[in-house]
Amino acid sequence: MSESSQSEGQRSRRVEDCRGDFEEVSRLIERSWAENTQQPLLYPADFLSSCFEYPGAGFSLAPSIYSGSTPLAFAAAFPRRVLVKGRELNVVIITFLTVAIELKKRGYGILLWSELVKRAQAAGFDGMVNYCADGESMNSMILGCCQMLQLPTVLAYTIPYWSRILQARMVENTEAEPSADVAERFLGLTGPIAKQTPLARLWSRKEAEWQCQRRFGSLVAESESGSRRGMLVGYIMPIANASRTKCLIVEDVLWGDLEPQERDRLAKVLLDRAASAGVQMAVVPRLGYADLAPFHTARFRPSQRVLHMYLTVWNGEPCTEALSSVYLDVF
Amino acid sequence: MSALTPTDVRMFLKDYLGRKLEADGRGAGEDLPEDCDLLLSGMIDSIGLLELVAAIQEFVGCEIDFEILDPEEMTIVGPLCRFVSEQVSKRG
Repeated sequence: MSESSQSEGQRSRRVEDCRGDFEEVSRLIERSWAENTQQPLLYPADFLSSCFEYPGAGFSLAPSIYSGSTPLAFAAAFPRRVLVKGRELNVVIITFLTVAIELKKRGYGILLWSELVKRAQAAGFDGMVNYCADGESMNSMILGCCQMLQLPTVLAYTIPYWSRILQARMVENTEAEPSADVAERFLGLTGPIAKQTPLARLWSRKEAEWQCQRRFGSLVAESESGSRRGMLVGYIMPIANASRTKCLIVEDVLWGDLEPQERDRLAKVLLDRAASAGVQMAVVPRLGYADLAPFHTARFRPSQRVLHMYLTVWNGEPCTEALSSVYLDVF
Repeated sequence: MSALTPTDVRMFLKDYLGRKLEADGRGAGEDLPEDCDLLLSGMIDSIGLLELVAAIQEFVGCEIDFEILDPEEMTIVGPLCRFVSEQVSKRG
């Protein structure tokens, strides 16, 4: 799959697969997203590259438009296996939808997004997830776009964030790095979440290894107290500001059966480790699947960032109502 | 810097935020009440808070441990100014 027909006025541009030119794509995203109302993250080439190393990811789900060797538009979808109200679905998360500044408002964004939907459908996926930032133009367009393609879509969850700043400091004891079988423990801790959460990510061992060990900037903190065990997993990314502030995004909040004080301590271990790595900002999306009180204790407070999660299921019975909680990565 | 009063810090805040808002094309705020929450009012976001902390430290000429300030008060003008003033005074 590499080419598709173009609408009137766009014949000179053709949609093709991403060429894996992550440095160029990274620059495109940074320049384009600099116009967003909220300070975006910076997506370095290494981060983009590691996203495509996720099991099942590939360039056929990353339609792009080029002018010569320069990418002008880019979008990507990454496969996720989720359990939605007891039903296992293979979905894609659509993300990184980017159009060069000089080509904005000419329909290229919709063109690429529609192409991505078509490709995901052709590849046999059951549905998709789109995240839209509150206040950004895509948030007001997404339901209309889905309706246009007759895709049953629901605003499944609105995601507020907590954040805190971290003062750069060296921490003497950040505790040992997780050992090699961290993925096995990760799988053990994520399993119960799927039973309690209306939409929950399911993991294969290879995916867990990617999440904990191979993903760009991955950061893991674990706690073991007798038979009790918990884990926090996140990743460190630069913010697209002048000083390239390092930001920790907490993704998997897996308290397991830890006691409250042990949870507080685990959150501190994660933050200490992040601070030692030069992180100055930490954020955690409030997805409702895990107790976030330890993060409140760790000085996290509501930030102004809000994302909306739109869930589309085109294969079988669609999801028609908002969910009370979700466990899924948020881009 | 010694004998830095909360009013001095507030003057700095007002000047700093005024410049920041103007640079963002939002126009400088005219007032900065004691109970103004900089985050909730939208004057700054999380990154803005980080930049503000750095700017305050540059202004007072020393590092300040904001970890000992109640996080609920960190973004509120009055408590923030008093805290910075106290911390600088303690250093003599």
